[in-house]
Amino acid sequence: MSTLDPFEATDLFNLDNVNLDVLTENFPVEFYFEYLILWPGLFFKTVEQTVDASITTNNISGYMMAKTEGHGNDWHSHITAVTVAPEFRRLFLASILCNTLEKITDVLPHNVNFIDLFVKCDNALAIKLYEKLGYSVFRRVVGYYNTAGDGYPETLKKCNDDKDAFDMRKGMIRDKGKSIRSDGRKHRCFPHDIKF
Amino acid sequence: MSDRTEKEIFELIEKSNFKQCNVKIALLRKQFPNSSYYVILELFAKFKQSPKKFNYETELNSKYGLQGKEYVNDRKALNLLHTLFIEYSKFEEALNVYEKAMFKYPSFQLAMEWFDKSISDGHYKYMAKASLQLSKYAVVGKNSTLDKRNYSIWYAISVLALFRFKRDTLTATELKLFPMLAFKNLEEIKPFHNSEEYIIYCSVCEALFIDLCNENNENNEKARLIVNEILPTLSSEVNLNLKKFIIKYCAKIEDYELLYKSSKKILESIDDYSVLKSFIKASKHIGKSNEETKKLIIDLLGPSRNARLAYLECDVTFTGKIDRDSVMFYLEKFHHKQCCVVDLNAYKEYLEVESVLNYMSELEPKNDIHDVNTLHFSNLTSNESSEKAINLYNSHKHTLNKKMKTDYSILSTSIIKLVEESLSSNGKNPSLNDVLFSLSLLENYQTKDPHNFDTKTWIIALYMHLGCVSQAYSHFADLKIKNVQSDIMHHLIYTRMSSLFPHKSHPYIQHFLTEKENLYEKSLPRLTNFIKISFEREAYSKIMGMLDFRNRLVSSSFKWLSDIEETQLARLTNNKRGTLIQKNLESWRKINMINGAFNFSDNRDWSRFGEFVKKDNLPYTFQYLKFTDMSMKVNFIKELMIYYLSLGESNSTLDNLIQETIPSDKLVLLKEHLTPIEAWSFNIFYDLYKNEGSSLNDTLEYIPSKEELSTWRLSNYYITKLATLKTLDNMQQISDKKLKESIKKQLQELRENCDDLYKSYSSEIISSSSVLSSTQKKILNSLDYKELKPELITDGILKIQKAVRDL
Ligand SMILES: CC(C)(COP(=O)(O)OP(=O)(O)OC[C@H]1O[C@@H](n2cnc3c(N)ncnc32)[C@H](O)[C@@H]1OP(=O)(O)O)[C@@H](O)C(=O)NCCC(=O)NCCS
Repeated sequence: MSTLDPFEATDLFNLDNVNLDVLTENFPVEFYFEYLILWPGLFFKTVEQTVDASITTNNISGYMMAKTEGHGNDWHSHITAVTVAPEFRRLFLASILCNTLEKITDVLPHNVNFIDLFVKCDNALAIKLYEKLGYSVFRRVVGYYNTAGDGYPETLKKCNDDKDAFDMRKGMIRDKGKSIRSDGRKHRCFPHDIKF
Repeated sequence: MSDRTEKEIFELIEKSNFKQCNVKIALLRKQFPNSSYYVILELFAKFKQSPKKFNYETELNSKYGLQGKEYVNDRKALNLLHTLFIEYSKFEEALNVYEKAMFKYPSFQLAMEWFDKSISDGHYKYMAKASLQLSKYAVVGKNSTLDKRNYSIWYAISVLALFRFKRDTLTATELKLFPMLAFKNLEEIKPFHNSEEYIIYCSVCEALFIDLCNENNENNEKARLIVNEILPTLSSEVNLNLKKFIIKYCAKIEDYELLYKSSKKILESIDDYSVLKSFIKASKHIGKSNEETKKLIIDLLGPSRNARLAYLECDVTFTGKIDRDSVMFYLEKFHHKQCCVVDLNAYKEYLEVESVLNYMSELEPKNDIHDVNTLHFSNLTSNESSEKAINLYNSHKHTLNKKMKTDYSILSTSIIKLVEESLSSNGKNPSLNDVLFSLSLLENYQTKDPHNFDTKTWIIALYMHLGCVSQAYSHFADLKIKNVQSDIMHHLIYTRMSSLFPHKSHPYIQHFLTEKENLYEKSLPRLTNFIKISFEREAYSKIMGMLDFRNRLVSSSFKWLSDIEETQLARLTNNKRGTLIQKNLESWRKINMINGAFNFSDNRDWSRFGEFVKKDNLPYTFQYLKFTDMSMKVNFIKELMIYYLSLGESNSTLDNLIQETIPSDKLVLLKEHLTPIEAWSFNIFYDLYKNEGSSLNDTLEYIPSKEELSTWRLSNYYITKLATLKTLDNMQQISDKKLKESIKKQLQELRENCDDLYKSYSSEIISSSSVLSSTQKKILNSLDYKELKPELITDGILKIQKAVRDL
């Protein structure tokens, strides 16, 4: 049974169940603090109330880290990280976290036009998850996951599912469909095009 | 003074070139006789030149202390005074100089500096006082970008922190006054502008009144204020903090109509179990039926996990017993999901195991998770459960080949079950072959589920138990531990590193030192500034957590452990220790400042091994991790004793620390918190420091027990003894020729024995692995697993042997 609670800085001491996961990034403390400071309402967690606290302090089953950015039509929320502890996967928790973000930012004081996120083009699992929640591919960001060794992409012609990201979006009603492109996968852009 | 001259002076102080430094300062004092900064700078240089000769009372305390009459308002002078008082652990005085300056020369800027320094020192009372001054002298657009109202909130937050972290420092009057003023100030700035302000208002009502007061009337009055204030926000925004307040306090004032309406409203937006529970409670109170409530829940949330589980909660609330249909409603979707056991366990007093097992048996698909859940619900004896674990593994092992590499398999629980059984050994300490057998199970499993971090951490711990640090590290490296994770995970390897693997150039140590620097030297000092920014950016709701986080990292027991290990390592390898000791002392002072006492925050993750490992009662194979707060203090004292012995002086800070920490009958304490060889080593230096080594002759001899000659204990014994004898050998205080010779002789004998000791341990490993019991062999065969090659372990032992042989 899970409850949604705001993420606190001290939760960083109790994240092993979630963050030891191989695909989950561990950021420097400053990065988490930046999110806590700038978007205090958009960083939250699911807590398993049934986990016996006398056995483990790790009762956080997942968390959402998001921000708002952009101007005018581009004003939106962005999912920076959503992750769920392996033992609590396939329970709809990631979906609940995404839906909650939507509920929070679709109303005042945020009133965003859309929500977006980046996902590796080869992460079929996550793409499926977001599609089920109403997100669709808006464009492909070529070389988004390039390492320093890969260098900055020189052309939009070369694609690599392991290095490129899909920019997936879900529009709110006030966005009037501007964030939906039926041929989103064909639209390509450089990483510098996604700065807001 | 130009910045250049100032820089030069500080560089001269740093280089201890006081002759030139004093000439420069004297010149400046002559040139600017009225500058308070140069007076303090001169004082500072004098202190630095000879801290022992510096007369704290007459030079500093009588003039600038709490009763002192000298006022300073120069920014830099205040800063230096602050530093000087901190050197003496006079935390109150260090900030009081600002209060005095504020009294005589009030300004917004000064109040801000006072506030900043108070955050940094964790002095919440002064933060509160400074906020009041900020609000008094702030003029928007002139000296402040923020409005007076903001500083009222800063005050409230400071008081909240004061009550949460240092309440015991308050007088009876302050206990009354601070909350009242915080509340009054907030009332005055109503209406609130945003949810962050609402949250602080609610927190003040809760933490400073409701939680502290026994009188129901006043409690209810504040609870009602919270409810009235937040209620209107429910229709316009979704805020998880405010949600918690409204639910809690509607229930507190027993307004169930309102609780029902509010929880229903919240559930329209979010799927949350604690809100659901309140909804059910309210629903009953206002006369709705069980069925009606269940239907409403589904209307609101759909058949989600929380909603299905809420059926059980409804039954308990309305009838006091759980209906079969409700359990089935939950199980039909979750019998084969991992949440099933924890979820149903919450209702176990209303459920019969037999019935649950019966229900489970009716459900399909019976996948691996379903079977593991069934096993959990069954109350099996250990023999039965081993057998079941093997059967379960075998009937689902094909799934290991099909799953994605980055997914995790539940079958790891079967393997861990077998490992736990093997290491429990009917209450006896497990033998080497039990450990080798367990490692065989785990290593084989890991190849099939490579990212499984549960099994991986077991592997790391067992290699560490055997003293094979490089093997443990090769697995640890896969976990890519970094940033704050270092504070909670590195103890698995780094505990006792200086006596288990003093191999400074090994990739592990290099990796660790980089991570340690990133976290404690780079990130941690930045946090205070981040906290200040949270005030400025109005991220009010996060400040308490950030302060707590900063405090816990400053006083982290692992940070402390790793600092002491570094100092011990430097001593063993004959490196300079002066700077490290100063760093240890600075950390010690900082912990005292932040916590008000020399207490640690244990952030290490002790939950990784489930119920098998309890921090306060570590099983045999995890004893290498036994490093308590007291172990840390005792090791700190030991290093200080050695340091001051080498300087040929005693030290009052150390003397006090010994008095506070070490009881007269220290044997029991040492036995409890140190290994036998560590206790021996401590006693030797204690005797030297306290009694000029009067019993050294009798205590020098140490005969290890059999237990100390294998596992991690071998290195711990060998290296601790070696480091102790080496230190004694270098000590000029020991002048007795015979004693000196005896130390040298022991040292030589120990070194000559090194290869034999490690070789004999290696032979023990080889013979143990060749005698795995028939049951153990049978289990490995039945799982299709190979026995672990003993060379893997003996190679690890050889690596350590090579690393320590030349020490
Ligand atoms: C991706 C992740 C967040 C999904 O979390 P979750 O709570 O298990 O997801 P949900 O239960 O909400 O899944 C919703 C749907 O997504 C799809 N999905 C999620 N995980 C899946 C998996 N392992 N395999 C196949 N489909 C999957 C399914 O369609 C699922 O619906 P279903 O269970 O009814 O079939 C989780 O696996 C995770 O934390 N992974 C590591 C971090 C990560 O990759 N984050 C996303 C980066 S963009």
